[in-house]
Amino acid sequence: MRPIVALICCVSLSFSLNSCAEPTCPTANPWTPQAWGLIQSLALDALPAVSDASNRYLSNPQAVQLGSELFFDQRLSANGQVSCASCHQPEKFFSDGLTTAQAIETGTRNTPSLLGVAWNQWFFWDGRKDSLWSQALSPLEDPKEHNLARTAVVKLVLTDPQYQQKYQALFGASPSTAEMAAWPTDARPSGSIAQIQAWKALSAQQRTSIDTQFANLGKMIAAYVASLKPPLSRFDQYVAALKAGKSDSKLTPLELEGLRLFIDPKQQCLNCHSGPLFTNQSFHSIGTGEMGRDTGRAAILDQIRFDRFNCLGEFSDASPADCTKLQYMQRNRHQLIGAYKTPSLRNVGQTAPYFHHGKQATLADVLDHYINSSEIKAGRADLTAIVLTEAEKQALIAFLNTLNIE
Amino acid sequence: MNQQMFKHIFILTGLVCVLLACKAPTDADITKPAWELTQTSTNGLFKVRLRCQHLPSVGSFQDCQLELTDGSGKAIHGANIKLDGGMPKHGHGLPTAPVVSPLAAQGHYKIEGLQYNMPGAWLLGLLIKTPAGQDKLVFSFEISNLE
Repeated sequence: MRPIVALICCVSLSFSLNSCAEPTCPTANPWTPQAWGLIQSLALDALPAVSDASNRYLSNPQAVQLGSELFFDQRLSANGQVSCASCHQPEKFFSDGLTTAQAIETGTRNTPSLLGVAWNQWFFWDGRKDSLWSQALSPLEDPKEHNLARTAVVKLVLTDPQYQQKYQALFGASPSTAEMAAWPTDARPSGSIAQIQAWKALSAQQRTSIDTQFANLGKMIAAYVASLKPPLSRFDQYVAALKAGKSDSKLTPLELEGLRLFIDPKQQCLNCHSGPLFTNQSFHSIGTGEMGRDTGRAAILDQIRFDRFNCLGEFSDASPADCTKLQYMQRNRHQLIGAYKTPSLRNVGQTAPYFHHGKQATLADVLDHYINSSEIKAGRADLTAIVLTEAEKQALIAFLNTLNIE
Repeated sequence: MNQQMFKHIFILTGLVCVLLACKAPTDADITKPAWELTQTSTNGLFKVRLRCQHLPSVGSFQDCQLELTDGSGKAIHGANIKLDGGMPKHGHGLPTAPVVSPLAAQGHYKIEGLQYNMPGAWLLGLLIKTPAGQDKLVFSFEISNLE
């Protein structure tokens, strides 16, 4: 019946508009009201404005500009060859295509894309940071990533004439040259014994001053990263067209079948991959944790609470009332063993490999994991094994690829 | 007391009333809950009414309160109430660690930090301790993925 209705619509429109190009032809919505509600909840226009009460510079254009310069600056590393963009490569959708990150050394986790990452509630695969600016600070000091001491990072930026001018325009006065000269170049609160001793030899006032500037650098990098919004995908265009009563021809029958499977409760996809970023922002075990080696969220619960740079810390711009997710975070280790953050599925087809360890090379491998994982079948995960025919797998993969950037 | 002073006190009183009315929403009584469940505890010691401002939904913090009474319907204040929950079919708990604390009204308690992260069948369990004894109960309900 539906093609006939569409044909009648086209014919009647062609009479009134004197032409009926297919894209403008009103089309009956093929979905049930419930399915259509679910589909609309996944579209990018359902995404709210980006916000972070702990970073008052998040949407400041000057901070975005300076953050961009810091993001691409290889001097912010021990060997002068690593920048944020070394792993978050713009031409690879701000990821790197590697199994695990490769900077000063090889890391243990897969590099996520940064497009849309500012909407996350927690950062890193285990969510050990509660803001984007606080997250941005970690790689700078991480021995496997930039491996640059905190004092070296702050000195480098604040003694660079161009950075200094822009920094002061944003944050007002910065520490004087004489003040910075008194700081050792290689001091940080965690690292080698010599580095820790050098950090502890600083006065509390000096440490707070260094941490204040360090936090500001994170806020600027976060401002730049927050400007990296996920572009519209073909799926979003499909939803927009259908909302406007236009042709639904943006997706092929195979892709539409994949969408139907994706929102079908039987496949359980939507349990975790919900909302316009296709993530429920939560932590789940899908049978990929490694006892004794990497237990995911369970291993870092205290680290978040006692992080000097968290939402409740002195360098945060938020009031305590804005820090509810930190205040009420789940602290039960047993519940979170092997749990990792649900990743966004936006642009998923172009950001392989997959999972926190990057061990699944293709989307087909990911689906096979959900079908065959012994951990899932043994009940040691937050979902049950899914059942898909080969044709259904192909349809789901086709749909997932409609989330790619064109 | 002259008329001017009386006027100042009147304005000040009005201001205090306005400020009190603007307290955090969780402290205000939920007079028209969109969703509520009532249940008697396992051993019949308590009756609990769970009242929420909105239907349970995925993602946001839930604005909910509890009303606690004994078997005769008398409000119980000062109880120690622990709340936990999860999805039995999925084998996971709540994404957050909610806290229950007493409100000014007798027998009324507010729930803070309650969040759900998936549609489907959920359980919320309460462990209630009072000088008269302790008991527990479990609410069972479904969350639609369209709410």
